[in-house]
Amino acid sequence: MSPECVFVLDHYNDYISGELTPEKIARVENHLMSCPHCEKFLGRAFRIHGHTVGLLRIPAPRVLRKSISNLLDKA
Amino acid sequence: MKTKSKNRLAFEDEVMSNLDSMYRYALHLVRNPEDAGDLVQETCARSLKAADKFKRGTNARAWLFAIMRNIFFNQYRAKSRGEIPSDWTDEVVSGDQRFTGSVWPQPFEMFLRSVMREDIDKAMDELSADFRSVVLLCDVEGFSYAEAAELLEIPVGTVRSRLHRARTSLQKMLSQWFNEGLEADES
Repeated sequence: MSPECVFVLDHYNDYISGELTPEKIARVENHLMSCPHCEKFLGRAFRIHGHTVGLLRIPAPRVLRKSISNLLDKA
Repeated sequence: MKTKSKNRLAFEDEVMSNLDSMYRYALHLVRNPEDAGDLVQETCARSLKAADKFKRGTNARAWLFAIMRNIFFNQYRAKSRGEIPSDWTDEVVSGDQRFTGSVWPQPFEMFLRSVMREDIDKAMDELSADFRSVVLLCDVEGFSYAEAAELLEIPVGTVRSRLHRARTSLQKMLSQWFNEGLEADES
């Protein structure tokens, strides 16, 4: 494992969160172009994250939406 | 009929467009759908009193969440039970399109999605309330670390470390699903 692989491991969560500086994003992405292991690892992390978030993103019940809409109309 | 100002209409748009987020946050706080609905209603009613001061371009969602959190700590906390009912994720929406696509091939996913709901509930329930908060705010609602830190009144570094640990825990708890799905996807 190279120092750049370690850098990706240390920063992939912030990368997923969109919290890295442009310089660090470039460093991660440059490494991904030359390291299939890290590319696969980060791809998995992104997909797991995206799927979990998708399942947690539940909408408000319709009855609540209607009730709030009425509240705003009457106020 | 009273005509509403542009600011007032903008405020109402913000409330309605953030309603799903408010409901999810309320559900996280009070842990049951009935109280979550009440908390959202009370948050909206409280925010309406200050609607005239609302300025377009401000972070309405953060403001609404802060109002909700205050109401919760003042009124609801004592009666919240810390349990998630089995129908917590009955109205699951489809996966987040911002990301790189499904973990599983399509036919497999349709089946797994329904079965997986219970395990997602359990996994979230296993997390401490502090960890759930950052997952909900940062991952589900898209708050920045700084926004979540301000709302939760904790340092940005604490948001970061809690989020990373929470994600790791969730992945471990759900590893069986993801490993099977990823293997199928990558074969």
